[in-house]
Amino acid sequence: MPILREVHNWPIQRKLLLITLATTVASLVLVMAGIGAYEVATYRDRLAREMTEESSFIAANSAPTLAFDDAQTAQEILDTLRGSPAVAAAALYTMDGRMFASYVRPGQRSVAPPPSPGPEGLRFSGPSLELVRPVQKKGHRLGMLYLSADLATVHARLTGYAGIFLLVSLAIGGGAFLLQRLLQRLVSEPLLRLSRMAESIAGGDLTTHAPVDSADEIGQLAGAFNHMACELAHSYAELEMRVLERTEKLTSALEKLRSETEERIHAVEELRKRERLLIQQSRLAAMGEMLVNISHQWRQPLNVLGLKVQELGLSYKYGSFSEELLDDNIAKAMEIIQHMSQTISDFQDYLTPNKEKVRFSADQVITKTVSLIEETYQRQNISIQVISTGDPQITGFPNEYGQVLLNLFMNARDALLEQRVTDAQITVRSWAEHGKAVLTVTDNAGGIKEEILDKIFDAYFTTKELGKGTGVGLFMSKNIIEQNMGGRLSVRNVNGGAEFKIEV
Amino acid sequence: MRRVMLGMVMLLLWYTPVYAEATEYQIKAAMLANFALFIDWPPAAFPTAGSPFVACVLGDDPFGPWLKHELGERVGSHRLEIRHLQDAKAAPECHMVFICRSEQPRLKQVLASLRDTRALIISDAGDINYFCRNGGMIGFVTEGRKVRFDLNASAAAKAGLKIDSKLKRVSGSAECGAGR
Repeated sequence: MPILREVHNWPIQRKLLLITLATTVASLVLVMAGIGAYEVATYRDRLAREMTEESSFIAANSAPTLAFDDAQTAQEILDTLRGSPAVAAAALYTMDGRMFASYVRPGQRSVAPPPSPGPEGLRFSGPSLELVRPVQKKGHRLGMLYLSADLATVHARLTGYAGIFLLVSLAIGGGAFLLQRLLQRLVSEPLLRLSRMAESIAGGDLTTHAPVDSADEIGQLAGAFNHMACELAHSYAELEMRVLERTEKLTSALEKLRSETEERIHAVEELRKRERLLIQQSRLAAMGEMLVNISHQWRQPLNVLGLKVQELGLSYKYGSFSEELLDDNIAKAMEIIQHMSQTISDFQDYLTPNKEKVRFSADQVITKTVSLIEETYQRQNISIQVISTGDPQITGFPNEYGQVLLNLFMNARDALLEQRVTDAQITVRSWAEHGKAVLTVTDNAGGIKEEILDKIFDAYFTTKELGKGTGVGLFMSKNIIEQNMGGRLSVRNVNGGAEFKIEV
Repeated sequence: MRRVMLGMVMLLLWYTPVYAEATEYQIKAAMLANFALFIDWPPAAFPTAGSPFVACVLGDDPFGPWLKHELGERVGSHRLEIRHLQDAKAAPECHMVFICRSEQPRLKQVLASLRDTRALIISDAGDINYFCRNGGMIGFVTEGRKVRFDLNASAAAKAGLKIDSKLKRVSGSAECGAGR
């Protein structure tokens, strides 16, 4: 419906006017239609009633004229029918049927009263009515009255109503203009003012104020608008203040955080530097340890190698030199050199971390490690006992695992030497348990004090004399087992010593 | 109907020669009958419900049969009684008195003796204004062939008679004899 859409966009004032006009005109049309319908529907009854009344009046007034044969007065009386436009024609007849006086509506030519009255009564023929009644006084008939009436009154009335309708319509049209003005002043103007105010509020001007000049809905709305604008301004100011406060706080907090972070980064860097230094130190210490071990391991083969070389010289001097002896000694020397070379490779392995996880035998690592240190420890009167059951397998980094094992041996040895244990012994046990490879290293150095038991894996924690321990060994061991290989490294005191346990 | 029948009888019996003479008193008789239609007598004029309506003709009766014909058997609800009088003193019971021309010489005395009755006094004798001035109530006036009447409404009112206002309209004058 394009018309409806158009009306939808009209200003309220015009809409209100349309509503008013439409209502008024509709009611007017309805009323007019009702009146018209009523007129048409009831005109017969009313006409009959009117004519009966009219005839009664004429009959009563004309009675003496008939009685006393005063045709002139009778005519005068009939002529008063000019005031009743419904009456088209009328006539008075004497008792002997003679026409006494007659009347025809002015301007009417086709209608004429009949020469004789005809039968008494009220008759409708089409839209017109004929009435014949006696003129009597005190029961004496003095003559007859004839009346004929038609729709003229209805027409006249309808014409009159049409005129009224036209007039009222014109009045409504005129009134509509006045109403529009009034509405503009009463409704549209305040609404427009509110709309402008809302616009300026939306534009950010919160100081706008709408005048409240009526107590109606618009006035209330204006009041509510003012209240809202006031509240808005208030909240806005408060909000701005809060934002400012908050920003300040945040800025200072940020500043604080930044300096703290810097400090922390600095500290961490410092720590890392120290850590690197310590790791370096521990590695150097390990290398030193290795060198000691290598030197111990090499001492005997070097002696043997020296003997073999000397034997060649001496046998040549005493004439017992033979080709067989030479070959034998060269083979022996080469074997020894080979062994020494192997020893170096073994140590090298310990210092080279594995790159990939592989599956390896725990016992192999134990044997290799023990073989590296066994000689050195024997010299220090420490015996190593290996009790292995079931050759457990591990997935991980064998060199790192060996390093951890070496570290545990070194700790045990240090403790044994420190406590000057006479029957010093390190026991290594390995077995498989719930799909895990379990390894324990136990000494008989009297155990670890309970109060430091939960601190020994902390970085830089050491009980050794200054310059001897770095406090990194157990920390790194725990890291290797738990972080890199997903296992567990724990410690407890058993009878007369400490037991370290690796579960992978 | 009565008048129609009467007309037919007249046509049969007295065709041309008697018509003119007969008509004047026929008309006047009819008018007397019609006066009774438009005038009301006070209830006191009829002592009982069965009291007759007494129509009196004072002097030499000019009506012949017409008066009885026109007035009929009853006037209103009352039986009609026509009395012929020669002396006005015998008139107290009359409701209507017609004074004939024969009484013209004694008219003043006749009217004076009728003054305290409740009768409607009618006459066609001589000077109507004189008649009215002396208490006459309805006087006939003949203009050419047309019979008309003048009313002395105040005299009738004094006698307690109620005259229909419409009657006044067809009268020549409703205040006959006044101011002269």
